[in-house]
Amino acid sequence: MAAFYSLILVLLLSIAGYFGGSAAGTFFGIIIPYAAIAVFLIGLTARVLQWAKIPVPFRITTTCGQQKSLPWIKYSRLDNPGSGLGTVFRMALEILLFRSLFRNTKAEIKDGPRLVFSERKFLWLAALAFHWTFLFILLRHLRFFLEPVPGFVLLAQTLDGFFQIGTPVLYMTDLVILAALAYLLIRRFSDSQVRYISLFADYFALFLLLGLVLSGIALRYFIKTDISGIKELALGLATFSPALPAGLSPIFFMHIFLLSILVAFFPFSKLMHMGGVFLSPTRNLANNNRMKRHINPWNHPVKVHTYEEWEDEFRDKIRAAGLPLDKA
Amino acid sequence: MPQEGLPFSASLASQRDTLVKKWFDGMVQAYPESTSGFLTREKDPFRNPVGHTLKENLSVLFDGLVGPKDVQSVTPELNDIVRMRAVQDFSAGQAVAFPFLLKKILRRECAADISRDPGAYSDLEARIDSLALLAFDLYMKSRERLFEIKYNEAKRSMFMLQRRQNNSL
Amino acid sequence: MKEENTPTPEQLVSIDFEPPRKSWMDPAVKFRKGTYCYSGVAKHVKYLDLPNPREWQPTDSDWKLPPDWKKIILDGMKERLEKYRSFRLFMDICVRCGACADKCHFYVGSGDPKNMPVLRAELLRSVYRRYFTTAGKLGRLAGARDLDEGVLKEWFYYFFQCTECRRCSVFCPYGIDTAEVTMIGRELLNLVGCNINWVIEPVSNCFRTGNHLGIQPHGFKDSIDFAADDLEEITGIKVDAPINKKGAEILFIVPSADYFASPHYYTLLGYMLLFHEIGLDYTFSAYASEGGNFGLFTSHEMIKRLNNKIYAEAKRLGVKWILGGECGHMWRVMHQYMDTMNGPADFLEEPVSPVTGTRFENAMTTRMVHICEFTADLLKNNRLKLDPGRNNHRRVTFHDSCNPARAMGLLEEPRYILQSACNHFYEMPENTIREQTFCCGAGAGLGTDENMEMRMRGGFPRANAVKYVHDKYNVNMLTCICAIDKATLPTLMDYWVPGVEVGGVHELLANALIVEGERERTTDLRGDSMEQSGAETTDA
Repeated sequence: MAAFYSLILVLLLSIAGYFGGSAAGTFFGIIIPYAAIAVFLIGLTARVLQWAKIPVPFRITTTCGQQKSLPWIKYSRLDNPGSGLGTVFRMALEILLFRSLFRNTKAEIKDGPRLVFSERKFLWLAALAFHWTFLFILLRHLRFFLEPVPGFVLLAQTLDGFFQIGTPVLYMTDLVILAALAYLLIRRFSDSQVRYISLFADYFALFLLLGLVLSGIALRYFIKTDISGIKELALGLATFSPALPAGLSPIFFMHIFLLSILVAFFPFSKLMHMGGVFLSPTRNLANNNRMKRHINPWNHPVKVHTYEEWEDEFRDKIRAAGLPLDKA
Repeated sequence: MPQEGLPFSASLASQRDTLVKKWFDGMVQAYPESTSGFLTREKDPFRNPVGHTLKENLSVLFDGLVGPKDVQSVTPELNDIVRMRAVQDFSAGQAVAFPFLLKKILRRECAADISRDPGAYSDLEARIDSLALLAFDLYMKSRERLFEIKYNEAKRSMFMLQRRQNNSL
Repeated sequence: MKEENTPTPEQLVSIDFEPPRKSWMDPAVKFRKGTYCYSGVAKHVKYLDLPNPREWQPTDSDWKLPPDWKKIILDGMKERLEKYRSFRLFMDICVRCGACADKCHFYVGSGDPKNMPVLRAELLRSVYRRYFTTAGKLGRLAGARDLDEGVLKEWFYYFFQCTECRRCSVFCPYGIDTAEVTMIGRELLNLVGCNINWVIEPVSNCFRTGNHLGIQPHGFKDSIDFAADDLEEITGIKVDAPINKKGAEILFIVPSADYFASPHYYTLLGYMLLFHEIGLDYTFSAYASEGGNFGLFTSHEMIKRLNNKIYAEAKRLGVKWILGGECGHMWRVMHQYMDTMNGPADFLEEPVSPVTGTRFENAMTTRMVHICEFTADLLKNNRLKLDPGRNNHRRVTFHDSCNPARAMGLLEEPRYILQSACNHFYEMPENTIREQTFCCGAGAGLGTDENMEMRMRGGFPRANAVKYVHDKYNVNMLTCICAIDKATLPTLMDYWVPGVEVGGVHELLANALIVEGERERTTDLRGDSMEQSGAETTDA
């Protein structure tokens, strides 16, 4: 049901974008994008600041390898870093390559003669493929917002269309992101475990992204889109002198509207894992607990049972046992 | 597929993998829906000991039932399954009812074989019944074992207390 | 209740019933005997000044909660959301990818979907969303639900069905640690007086007498003296075991089970023999007579209250540094909490081994060293003479205890000791050891006998891996460095893998240790014959 509702919602939003553009172009082309960006920036900043403001009272690293202890024992610098530098590498592996998710895939003993590809390997692969291609596609899109187009954007574009298939040239990332999203979505349906835990918001994010990608693909490959018009609008938005050119396709409005929704939804959703992953105390702290004292800013005093109280209570028994007493 | 002309037990043996799979699937369905997928899918015996224990041992039970040997010969494998079910969320009846499930599967899947040789089938049913009774015995043993191990644990936790008392006697 | 009615033959035979297709958001907990722990006894709750001491049991329909319990819980959540970044973050960023789902030993062993770590956390997260987020106002669609007694009971059931082993945290792409969520969850439950006796009684005992078992000073002395006598009987040597000795160089802290329960006791004999052989100037303390800290299973405040005595006693006795015995969750506290909570330990010296001169660089500020680090260093420097042949009757594997593995990374030190002290050492399969180790199923205060069925389920993945090496290599001894393991793994083995005993690393070390002036040993520390039994004629 959650999946169904979220699909309906995304369809409604797409329709709104599609028809809204021609009915109220300025609203959908300029006001909403600006509003969405504002919500995104303010929301993201507020969220990250809120997290950053909360203290980390204890150093609760999850260690995934040998600790740094005696000099002759080889320790696991990346999975159990003993220093700040090691932690930077651990975080880099985590953020760039999804190290922990990859750990998931190590299962060597299989029953039966069949070669069984672990379903989990695909989760890691799809997640990695989705996130990297999304970044790549974002970079490519910079060509709309910048004039002259910087070299790295052109390079990204050339690399992406390396195989020179079709006109306009087919971008590999478009295929990959579609496949990755489809996999992540199908997995939410077909894997009974994941289906059981999935919420409306989980499906909504996926459908929204799919809508965004599909409308983008439609714009590039199937509809004669006025690229110069889009660029004019994008440049205008980027330079704060927005003007709405004529002749923009309804699909384009759909695309930009879905993007606006995604961007505005971001700070209120689990998509905030993008910021959160940097702050996770089990990953971003070195396992140097006994080497370097960690300070808890709110280290409240507590009621304790002191030695004196203990000795007072058990004095006779301590004496009878022949153990030393502080106050005889 | 049942094969014409084969004797009953040989025909069953030829369908072994399908029948065992159906038996396994039937048992797995008794677990919550979100779990049955995992029990079926996860191949690593160490990540999925429940599914693995069921799958490995059901084949052996099947061979034991169909084969010429005494049903008792599969006691260790039966015990592995029953010992596990004795601590999962099942009533005693549910925990040991799984041999009967095989009857149902056989009647559905092997109707042709059965009608050709009803005598052989009723022999097999009798063997399944003995397996179920054996399962019940093993279930009771596992439950008794639970009480024993509680007692042993309590004893170990008071090891010094006991020794000191013995000493002062 | 349903399971107490006699089912019809039809019901019994047709076990292929449709499983409930209900959403997890409808709380439905059945407290079935064998799967939950009894409530905290009022007198212990009262002794600790904890809220709402009363007579009650989880099976009661009325839990006798305070009238404003909802407000207490929500205020408590708010306070903790502002004090623990971990808590807030772990409430916010889970994407429900499901990578953790089958990593929990309780899920793997029982199949109860609410034992998937992600759902265990969602039980709390759903309430967080409802009362602390904008989107949560939308209710169920946003994964939010009202806090009611059903939800609270579910919290109790599932938060006391998590052993805080942190295995899921290893696999989570954001490092979300269910132990952290459960710890906060249990703190909240404690605010309205919902706790379990197997945690609260040890905590209360420990606060009063210094140890979980409530052993008073004379009892402590008796046990240590007993151990010295036993050692004399086995080796012919009278070892010295000082207690509360001021001016000793090292304070030695052990979990109380080491001097009270079996098979822990043989590890105690092991330490004492080792210290005699190297002439260590150390002391036990009858006040700090517990390394373990069940406060960890109650609240952060309680960790600090119980842990306080360790540094206080080290200071009073004027020792140079502290050495700690084989214990799992004790080491989570010593390693990750003690210095922050009760430090700085500026009255101690930086730890240096008096035998080898090695400075323990990794313990420079906390100034407490793990016995395995200490002994591994002795062995590396050839300060111990061993005859591993004396352990030939043991075919050994090593169970990484959760906390030393996932909150320290103490993986190689115990292995180095075992491989020096034994000729037959075999590892369990790779995805069941080291940081991927499976819990014994009874940690975090769940090792009580009324919870036996749940423990047997939770321990099944561990037992299954032991069974593998038992079948393949005739392994007959499961070693570990955790007191809870030593108490509960023998029970687990009794049920799943009969024929495997459980022992400590320093027990095997001391079996092999050649002590100057000892008489020829005919038995190991357990009094068992060192002859190899018939089953193990071949060696791989």
